[in-house]
Amino acid sequence: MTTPQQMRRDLIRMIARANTGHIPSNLSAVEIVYTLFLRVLKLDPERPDWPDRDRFIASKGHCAAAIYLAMSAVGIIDRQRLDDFNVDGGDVPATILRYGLPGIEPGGSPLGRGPSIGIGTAVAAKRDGRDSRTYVLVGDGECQEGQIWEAAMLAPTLGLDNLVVVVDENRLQGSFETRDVVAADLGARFTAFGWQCHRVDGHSVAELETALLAPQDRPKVVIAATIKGKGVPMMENETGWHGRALTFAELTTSLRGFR
Amino acid sequence: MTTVGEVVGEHLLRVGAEAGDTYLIYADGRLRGVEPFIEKFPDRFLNVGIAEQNAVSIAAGLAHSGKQVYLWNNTTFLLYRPFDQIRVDAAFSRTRLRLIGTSAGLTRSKSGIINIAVEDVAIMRALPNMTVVCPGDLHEARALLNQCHQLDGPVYVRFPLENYELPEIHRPDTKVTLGHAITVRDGDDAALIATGHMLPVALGWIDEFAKAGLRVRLVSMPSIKPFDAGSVVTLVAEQLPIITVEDHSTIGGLGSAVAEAIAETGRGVPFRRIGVPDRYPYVVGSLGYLTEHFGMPGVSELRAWIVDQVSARSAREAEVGK
Repeated sequence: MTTPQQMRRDLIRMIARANTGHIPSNLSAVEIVYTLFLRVLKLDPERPDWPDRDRFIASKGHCAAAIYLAMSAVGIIDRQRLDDFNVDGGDVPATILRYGLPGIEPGGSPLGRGPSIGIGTAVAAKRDGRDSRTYVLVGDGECQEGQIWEAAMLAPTLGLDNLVVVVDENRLQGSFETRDVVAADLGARFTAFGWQCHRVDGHSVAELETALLAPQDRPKVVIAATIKGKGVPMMENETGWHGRALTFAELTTSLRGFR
Repeated sequence: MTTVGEVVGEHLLRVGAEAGDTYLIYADGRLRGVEPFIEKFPDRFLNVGIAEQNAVSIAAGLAHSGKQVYLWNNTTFLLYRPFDQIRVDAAFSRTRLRLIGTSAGLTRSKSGIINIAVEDVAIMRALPNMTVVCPGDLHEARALLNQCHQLDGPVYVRFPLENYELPEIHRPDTKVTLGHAITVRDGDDAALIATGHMLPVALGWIDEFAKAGLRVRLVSMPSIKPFDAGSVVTLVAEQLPIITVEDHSTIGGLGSAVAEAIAETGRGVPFRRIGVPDRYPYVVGSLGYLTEHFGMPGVSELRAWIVDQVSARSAREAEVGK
């Protein structure tokens, strides 16, 4: 049985072996993608393109490793295929891109497009009369993108009670602490734009599940307070690890000091 | 060795100290090498956040208030989302805005489409008023950053990875001038025209060609706009077969600019464009992998092609001599 902690160990090794970065961004999002895939999303692993499935749009596409592990835990992606993570010639990129893995919805980087794509899939579900919900994962730094707010302004007008945006509020971005770049209470801003807002501990599966499944009569935002680098003390809340690959010594330290 | 980030940092520190009006704008990220500028002039550094459109228009506002503004980002983020802002706020408005792009071409291709910038030269050179330069070595980078600082209009400077160590290909006394090609090696069998970080690659090819007894001229073309069409006219007048090489789409970049110049002479020469074909990759691929994935010609294929051209030319000359 997969647990969030097991996902953390696996993703650290996956990313370190691939000699690429974004480990802290993956670590902050683990419980979010775990809860979505194992408790919330209506999916059929045998039919990844089932038209009535819920959509998961990874706007924050650089936490791909965590997403792949959650998808493999529910049987959408064969675990063996993840051995190709970030390998030349393979179809398992370190950021969410639709190369060939089953179940990957449009979205991914560059940042800021996910909620708009989500409006598209949510409107299509409404028009087609399907019971399909759309969940979009964005980062808090990503909410500095203007397109996020173009989507945020529009969605309530369209009455999209089948659209949920989850903000992984890990409070750090590539350069500095997010509040030092743009100070913003994201929950208050989404609320002002007409969204139903829930604030949760983003490392509590129970809180996330309750908020994600809570009834909604308009678009819903779940502000998930998280710790960037969660689980690895030397990375937690520290800038500078964002895009870095780990040395072997750092990998060993990470896995030993893991909590 | 000096990295791309360091050469930009040195330049900013120098021009920043001279006039006191130089600004550096970030839309998040970090360019290693510019920290001394940020530390020395904290009031002239602004990180607007992950907001590329906002960054360009804010930079334009600063520039229109008399500031010398540098905006850095990964090339894809720098140019693509805010292209309309660049078109209107920088190009149309003749704004003194210097756009510094790193990770151009396939240099960060493993991240996929997010960091694959192979259309940037094509779109930027299509903009009236825009200057486009692709420095290929340290001297070109230093000289062109200086010359572009003086220009009364927008500039796009294209670089590979920020931690790429710029080679020193030209002699220190080589004259590097905006709008002018530089002959790096002489040769009368063919000409290889390279731009940006393909210059050291092309130099390696020239050495390989020489081992086969081929005398291939190497021309560096760091200035894409203004473009030195005259240098191409000279090559056509000598009837040299021409090869262009760039880490960019074969559509719209150096190869296209050279093709246009050849066509406008009204004469023909054998011609090949080496660059990224008109396709996106749908696999994970580092630069080296994608070069093979795309079947981009390398030194052996080009050597064979040049031999064919030498042979054809010699046959033609023998025919004329009869």
